[in-house]
Amino acid sequence: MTAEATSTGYPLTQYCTTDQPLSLLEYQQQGGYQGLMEALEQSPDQVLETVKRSRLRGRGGAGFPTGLKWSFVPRGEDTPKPKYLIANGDEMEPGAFKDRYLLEHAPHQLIEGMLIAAYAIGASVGYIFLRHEYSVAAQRVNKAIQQCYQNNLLGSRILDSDMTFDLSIHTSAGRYICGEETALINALEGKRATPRAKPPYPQVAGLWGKPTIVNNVETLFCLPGILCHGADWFQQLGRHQDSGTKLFGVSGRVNNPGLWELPMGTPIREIIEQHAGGMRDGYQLRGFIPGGGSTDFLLPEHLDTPMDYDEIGKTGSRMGTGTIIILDDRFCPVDMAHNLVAFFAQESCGWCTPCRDGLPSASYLLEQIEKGHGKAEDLDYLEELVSFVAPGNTFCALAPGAAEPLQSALRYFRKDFEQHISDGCCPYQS
Amino acid sequence: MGNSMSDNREQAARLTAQECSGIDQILSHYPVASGAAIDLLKMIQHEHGWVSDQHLRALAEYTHIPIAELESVATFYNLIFRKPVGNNVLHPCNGVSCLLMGYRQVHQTLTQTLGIVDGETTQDNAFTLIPLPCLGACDKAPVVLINDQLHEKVRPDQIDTIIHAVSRKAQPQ
Repeated sequence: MTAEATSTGYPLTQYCTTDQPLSLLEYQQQGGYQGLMEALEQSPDQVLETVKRSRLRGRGGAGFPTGLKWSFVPRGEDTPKPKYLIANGDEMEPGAFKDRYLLEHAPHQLIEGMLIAAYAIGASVGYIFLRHEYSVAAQRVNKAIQQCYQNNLLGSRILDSDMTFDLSIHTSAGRYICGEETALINALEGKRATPRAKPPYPQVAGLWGKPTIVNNVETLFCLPGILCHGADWFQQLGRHQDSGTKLFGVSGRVNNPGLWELPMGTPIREIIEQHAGGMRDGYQLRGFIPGGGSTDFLLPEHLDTPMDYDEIGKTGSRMGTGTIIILDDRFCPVDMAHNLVAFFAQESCGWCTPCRDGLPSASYLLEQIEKGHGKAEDLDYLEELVSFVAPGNTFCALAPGAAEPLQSALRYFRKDFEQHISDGCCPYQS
Repeated sequence: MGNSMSDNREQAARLTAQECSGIDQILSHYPVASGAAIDLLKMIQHEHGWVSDQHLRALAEYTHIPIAELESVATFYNLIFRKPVGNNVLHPCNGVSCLLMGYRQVHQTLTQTLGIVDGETTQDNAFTLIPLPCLGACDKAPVVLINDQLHEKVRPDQIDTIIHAVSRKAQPQ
């Protein structure tokens, strides 16, 4: 994607070279499915070990170590069958647009990643869970699946090995909560997508009660490279602590909004100023959200933080999806926080009281403040609501995620909130 | 649908032979019938534009999935419509990046041009307006999704042209 791109330096996007995805033959001619062949020559345990050593962490937002997640799946002959592998392509995080790009441009790389994961955990059935709106992705992935069935890459005795893997697409019917892994499993079972109580964890009892791994699309995209070039190579791709490369994105009032594959640990300043071309004329950087709508706001003083899970964590925010949203100086931070909280309030599945009742209350108060009808005590009540939806009070992370932009907006843009209340109007709408 | 049908809300719609074979095919992919609920509802919606009470009942009778279960699923997912919608459903994205880049102006122009508010359908049944959150094209904000086609970097002054193009395209059917 950039001038210095080499085939091994950009393992996520090396096949995303044209508008249309590569056919199976083209993908194979350019080195595709070699990661799978590499895996099939090893034992599943060896593949698991390689992925563990690569220190790959989940790219869906939580950053959980992928190898460790896989290792919770019961192994051996007398364990429950079938085991399931699900690719989570239900991308709906506000401000995130990375999985759509990968799905539309290199569907074979997703399938190859899934085959490698399925081999490691012993899964024989796979689903690609796509959001309804990603119809172009669905078409292209379906075509790739057909090509694989016709060429002994899906079905039984894959590439003449003992491996069996059947793969199909499930297109969702909407709702952000479907991206939560246990809610996603309920959706796949044809139920309301409410999260499940854990334990049992899906790795042990997931889809239809069988062992199930849910991995984000971008996580699965990392696997062919790891198998081809090794765990050490993957570790060395990172510029700081974390391994590999990642798709980073920027949206908002910058000169060149977009998506780039860059080493993990790339400083935020470099992403915004170099790759996104800096702020547009007439706009100043006021703050930013580093990784999609459910991560805390950060300020220009945090620009030199490397995009690394732990480093971003130290600032009080999260890496999340790695897609940065820019708050410029001409947009109202209260309005932005309200949009995010209103989104989470709407998308709450209604299962847990703090989320179902707390988020609409917070959204209502933010709307009142934005309209100039706020009262001083509203800010205390908002703080209280933030603690009400803290982790541990709900089954899933939706409500704590909603609290992140809200609590950081209250902290960093306090004067804006107070001015709305004292002036009785939004100072940005004049 | 005949008048006698809509007079009696309890009565099931008659499924066509094609619909029945479609249902059978979907059911064959699942270990239990209820697993197919979302796919079945989407199939009915694809055929009829929305899921009526009569079709819900017909599905329940044919598949033996309890009607309450089908209804609980139908009302959970926001892209399964339990009310009729127009021939074209307009989804302006109201996600945060689109908000930052001008969603409000786009949305206001849409409501003014069509003379409807969110969730409503125009009198000629051509358009229904349903904003959706984050369509995953934040670098091309603001965006509007219409019949599987994503319109990117939409300016309010383009709305008229976009709407005309959509209605022209839709007419021959």
